Amino acid sequence: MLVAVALTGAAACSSGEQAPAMPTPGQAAPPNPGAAAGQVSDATRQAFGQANQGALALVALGGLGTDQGVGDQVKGLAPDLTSQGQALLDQVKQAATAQGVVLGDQLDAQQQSLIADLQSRSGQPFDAAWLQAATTLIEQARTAANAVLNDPNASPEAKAAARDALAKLDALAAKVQSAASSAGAATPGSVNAGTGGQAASESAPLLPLALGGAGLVLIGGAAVWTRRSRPES
Amino acid sequence: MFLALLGLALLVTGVVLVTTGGQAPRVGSTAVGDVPSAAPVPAPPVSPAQVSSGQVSSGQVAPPVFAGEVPVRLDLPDRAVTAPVVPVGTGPDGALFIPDPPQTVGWWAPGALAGSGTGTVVVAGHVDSRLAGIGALAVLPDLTVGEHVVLTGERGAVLPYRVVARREFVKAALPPETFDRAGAPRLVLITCGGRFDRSTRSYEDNIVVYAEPVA
Repeated sequence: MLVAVALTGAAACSSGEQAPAMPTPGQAAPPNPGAAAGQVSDATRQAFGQANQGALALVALGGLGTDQGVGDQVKGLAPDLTSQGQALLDQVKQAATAQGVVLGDQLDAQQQSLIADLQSRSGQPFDAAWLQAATTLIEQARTAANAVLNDPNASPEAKAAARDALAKLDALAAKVQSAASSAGAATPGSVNAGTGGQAASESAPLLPLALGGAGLVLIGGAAVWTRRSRPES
Repeated sequence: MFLALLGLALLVTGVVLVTTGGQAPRVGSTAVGDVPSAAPVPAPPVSPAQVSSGQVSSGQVAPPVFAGEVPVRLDLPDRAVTAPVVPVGTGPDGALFIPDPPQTVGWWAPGALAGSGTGTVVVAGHVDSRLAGIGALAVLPDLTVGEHVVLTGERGAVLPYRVVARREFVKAALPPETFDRAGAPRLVLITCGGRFDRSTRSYEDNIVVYAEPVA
């Protein structure tokens, strides 16, 4: 239900209400009087947009986990994801508005695909996939917050908000990763897929051994030749 | 004197090859094709004006998409290979679980569904087994760009992919992006390859084949 609200709410709040006029390309459109018109760089807009998308995805994923999660881990983490995602969303929108950037409320195509993928699962497989997706989306949100931090044109308020969000996301990421590991949903660190040896490319380092052996023979031959060629005293 | 120098050079070369395992050229020489990016597909261009006017967000809304299905069968039609697919997870040691029978392959269940519009579908299987012989994915080192790979879903969906690249990695260097969950849709097949260490009964490398969905 929550994710449905997030998605439908996103649709309802999209373009129409926030498009009072088409500004000249390259210029910021101040949504309210007093905002800094024309002073926002493309990099700043992109950083805000990235952070906004990351926050929207966290809210949607949190709602989905609340609706469909079966295990204690997902049921416990999902509300945190929703609340931190919403807090991040509010911070991003406030900071963006202060700099004259208006943001949308829609998940992008890949975020929608990810949500659709998860929605079609149930039970433990849902929980495992949800934990893995949460790991990924939190990382993306962290990247977005870092982009704001690293943007030289972002306001001090925006950077402070990004710093605050990063600290909270780090804590949430640690919880989600721990849950993912115990649920068998962590990203694998290795793949060990063969014990027979029948498919080995080579069973022994023949070339190095042949080269080394030939070298020894040549050195020995040179020593013998040198000794024999010395004049006997 | 010349013979001694030549012999010394050969000896040193042999020792260097033994100590390094000759890995760098072995790994590099097996690369085929271009690996599809694990990074998210960029959204269509959005002008700053559109973003600031609120007409669109930084991404675009896609029409409803096929969510994907749990894969239950893998076919490599050009190699006459068919294998059942079972869901697998990640072990406590961080290693991907692989089904014991080498003729069965594992689908990493926390990853993308077969046919999903986003993320990597990971399928892995033993190249061989001491007791059961050669595995279904033993053909991976021979797959070439353009070959077909087909996954069949649990509800009967037939999901075709086409091989675009093949790589061989030293196991410890298998990139984490191999399991990317949120990037462009793709299929990754993994098995073992390279040298076999009889003392540990394991291979030194992973063979990774990348395939993209056929529209």
